[in-house]
Amino acid sequence: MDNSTYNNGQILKWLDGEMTGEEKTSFEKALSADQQLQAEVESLQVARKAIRSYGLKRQVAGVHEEMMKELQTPVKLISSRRRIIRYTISIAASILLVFVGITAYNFFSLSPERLYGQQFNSYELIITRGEEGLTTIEKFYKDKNYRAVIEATNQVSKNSVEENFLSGMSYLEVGNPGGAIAPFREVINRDKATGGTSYLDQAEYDLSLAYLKNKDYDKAIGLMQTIHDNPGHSYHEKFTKSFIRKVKMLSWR
Amino acid sequence: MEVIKQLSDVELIHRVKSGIDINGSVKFIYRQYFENLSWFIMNNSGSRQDAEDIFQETVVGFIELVQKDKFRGESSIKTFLFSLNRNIWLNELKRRGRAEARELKYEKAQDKAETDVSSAIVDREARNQLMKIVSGLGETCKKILLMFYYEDLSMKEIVENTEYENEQVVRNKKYKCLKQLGQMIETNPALARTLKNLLHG
Repeated sequence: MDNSTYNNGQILKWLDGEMTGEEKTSFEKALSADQQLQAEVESLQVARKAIRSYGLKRQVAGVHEEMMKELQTPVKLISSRRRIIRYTISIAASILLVFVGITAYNFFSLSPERLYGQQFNSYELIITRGEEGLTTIEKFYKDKNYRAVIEATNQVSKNSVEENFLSGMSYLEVGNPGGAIAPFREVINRDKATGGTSYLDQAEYDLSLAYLKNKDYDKAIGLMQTIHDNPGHSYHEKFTKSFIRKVKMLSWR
Repeated sequence: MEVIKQLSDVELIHRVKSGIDINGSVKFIYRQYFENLSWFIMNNSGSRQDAEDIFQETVVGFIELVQKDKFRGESSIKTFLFSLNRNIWLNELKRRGRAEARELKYEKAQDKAETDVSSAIVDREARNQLMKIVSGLGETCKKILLMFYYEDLSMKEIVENTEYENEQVVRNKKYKCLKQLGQMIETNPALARTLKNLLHG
């Protein structure tokens, strides 16, 4: 049978699977016998295959663009050079981790008590005039009876500079930094007013420690910084930058 | 916000075969396998661009094979994709005349799985030629043929999406376009042979 028997519409109908029954049987019989019709049908089938491949490729290409934006992380080539770099980075990261760990430990293990303990030293009373010449308060202090010193100084309305200083030190010795603040400030004010210097530096130093232990960090830092900045101060070297930084870290918590 | 669903091999094959949400399935394949398959290409003489192009070809080939029922689940999708990726890259290296084609590094036994790729275009060059030829078709022809043969739209829907008056006019136009495309492909005998082989593959 000649393919001229079939028009374009019929060929397309068969190709698109729209032909049924007798019509389909008849067409397929003709197709098996007619090489020209076979060639034409095959050409159309190839074209249909091509358009489907084109459509799919285009659709995947559209998703590809989108996915390349999403999966931006470059794929890594594992060469020996890169491996060395990777190990180096790993080691550096480990060191950094240890450093961060130590810093974190130092930060969280910081406490006013610990810093106070690093700096505080008991005051030893210097006796120049013999035991019999000591005042009651001095005797109490020498015997380390700090509560008696506090009690005795509190009974008197106006103590001497020395008595105030011993009172402040006694408060620190019994672990009451808040009580030490007033007598130390009295020492400082009176020494400054009279130009005396016998207890000034010591009182400033211990007052800053009293502030520290009392968690009054701003006042502690201010006074410590003043002492650090004054090379003539007897305790200038006691408050290093590192120590003051630690007190500042406490204030951030 | 896009929901990223984890698909089993069975679910993925079902979706690809039935044409349900092809975009979603392709995205899933990219997220699951792109990095590994790209790593392979880049460790076997390929560039990043090669890795991207070959992966794209792999995905297209995979969908074509699944839709022609050539993936029967005898291996995992991962193994199948690795194998397809390898075949496409091997063909590409041969085409480039590279000695590396003989030295592809396959460290895992699973990568050596044989894959029947006779129903997919695994030659990038052939695919590129096909794309070029179809692109040379007029825009209207491309639109009508894609709507009917790729998007599975009815003639009525195509009439609504074009400026043609009725279905018969579109039907006539579709035939002419398909015939024209067939003739354009015949001008490239090698490609025509590849496509004919695929028809019977």
